[in-house]
Amino acid sequence: MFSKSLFKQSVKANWKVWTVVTVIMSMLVAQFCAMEKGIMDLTTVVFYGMMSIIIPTLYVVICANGLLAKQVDDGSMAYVLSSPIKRSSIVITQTVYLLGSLFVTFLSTAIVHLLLKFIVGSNSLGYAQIVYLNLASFGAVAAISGFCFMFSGIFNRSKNSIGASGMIAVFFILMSMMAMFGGLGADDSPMAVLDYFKYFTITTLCDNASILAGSGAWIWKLCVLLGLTGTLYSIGAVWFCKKDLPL
Amino acid sequence: MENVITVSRLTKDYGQGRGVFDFNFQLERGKIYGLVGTNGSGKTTTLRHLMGFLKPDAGECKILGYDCWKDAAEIKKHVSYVPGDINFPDVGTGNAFLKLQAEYLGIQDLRYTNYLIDLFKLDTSAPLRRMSKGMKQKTALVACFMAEKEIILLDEPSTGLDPLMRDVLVDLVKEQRRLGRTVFMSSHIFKELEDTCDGVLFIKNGKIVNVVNRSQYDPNMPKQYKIGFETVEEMTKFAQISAFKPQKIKNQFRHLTVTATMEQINELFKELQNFNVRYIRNMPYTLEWYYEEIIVKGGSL
Repeated sequence: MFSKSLFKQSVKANWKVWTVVTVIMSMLVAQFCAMEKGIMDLTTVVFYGMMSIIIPTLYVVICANGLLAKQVDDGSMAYVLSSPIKRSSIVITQTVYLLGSLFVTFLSTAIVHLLLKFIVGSNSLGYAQIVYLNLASFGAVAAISGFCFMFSGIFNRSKNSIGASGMIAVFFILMSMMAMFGGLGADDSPMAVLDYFKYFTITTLCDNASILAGSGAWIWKLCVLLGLTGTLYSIGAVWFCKKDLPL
Repeated sequence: MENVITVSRLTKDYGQGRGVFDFNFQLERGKIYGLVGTNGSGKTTTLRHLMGFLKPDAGECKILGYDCWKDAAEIKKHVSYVPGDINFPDVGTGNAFLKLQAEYLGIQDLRYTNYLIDLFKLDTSAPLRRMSKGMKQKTALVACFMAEKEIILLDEPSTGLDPLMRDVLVDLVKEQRRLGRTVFMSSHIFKELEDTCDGVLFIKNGKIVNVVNRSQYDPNMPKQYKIGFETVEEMTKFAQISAFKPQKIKNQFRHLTVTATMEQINELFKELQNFNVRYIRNMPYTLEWYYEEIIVKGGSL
């Protein structure tokens, strides 16, 4: 079901990028907290609205490709499959690694943010809100990682897998930026029409406004994201188990 | 003898005549088999099916009674493999890779692994990425043989090896037979197949052309002799009167090739008595000859 050796191999292959991303996230959240003087939305809108999705997405696109498609493409998967490991165990192990590492990234971001609030105390966000914001961002990036993992499982060529993953990630992020511009202006400004773009991206299911307002809408949106994540990972997994491998 | 590998009606159609079509063969325990064919004839495809990497369009492959596709993980307990394309996971040095591989295979005692490393004179401290083709091949061979599995599949295992290391490989393969293991290897190097194999499968355009057992090609196979003459005129005269129908007459080298069985050899010498012969050389590559006759020319014996 789960291969410890493969998990270790995945950690070894990805820990550098992961560390860079995680450290950058922690530094950025600290920086935004420090800049927070009266403009309370800065951390939520810019950090939790954009940064916390874009930066881990970079990691996810690279890492998901490396976990399956790249190893099939360059043939190194042959050695893993020369041992009595089922293909399903490979997929499960890589899923655990990708989602696990992503979760730890957001966990550490949340911990840094919570600690800062505890020490400095000046943050306008509540403890629970900080946890919720990180959870919602995790959900959005997990769903993007679902697309990347699915492509990694489907394609035998690294360039196809990373191309498709990169394209969908950039598309989602662009759409959410457009939607963000639309949300910034007043309702009757010409910009407001851009708000419509929120229907073209899954990242707007990370509903920070609802968390700030204290409503529960973000919870079902998070559930949708997690459901999507599960579906996409499953498609990638089943495909990988059934396809021909040129090894 | 017990069959350890059974392939029946195996078909994988990649379109445009590529793939393998209706393969049927059985391999017995404790023997060494070769798989010979031109590029793109289906050698690698056959081995990938046996490893469970490819799903057959029709037919099936079985190893020790297990279906190679459905029970892919189970057969790996008994099979090890050297792929045709050697590329290692991104883990640093050769040593790190072999350690990782030992972990995957559950090998605790590294004595045999170290023996293999010595045998191939492999520098395992070298980074995998900087390794030459030959070093990569040696690393892959160590990773395969260290598992000490009863069935060994090798896809062109001598690629990139120098002649000395090729001999080491041939000896190692022979040792596997002594240990009662079964080896199935594809190769272009006829010499190493001839030296080691008990049986050879010839394939062409995805079809099995012929299966030759060692007993069939070894002693009584007609042999080829290259004969060098003093002058071109003499050679031409010999070519005209000889009963052996010489082939490959090369004027610039003043030599030609004749095919003769062991029984005919005295006849040949009698004919040659009247000529000034510079040399006569036995061309020992019977498999190569076989390959040329059967596969390249598409003829029959």
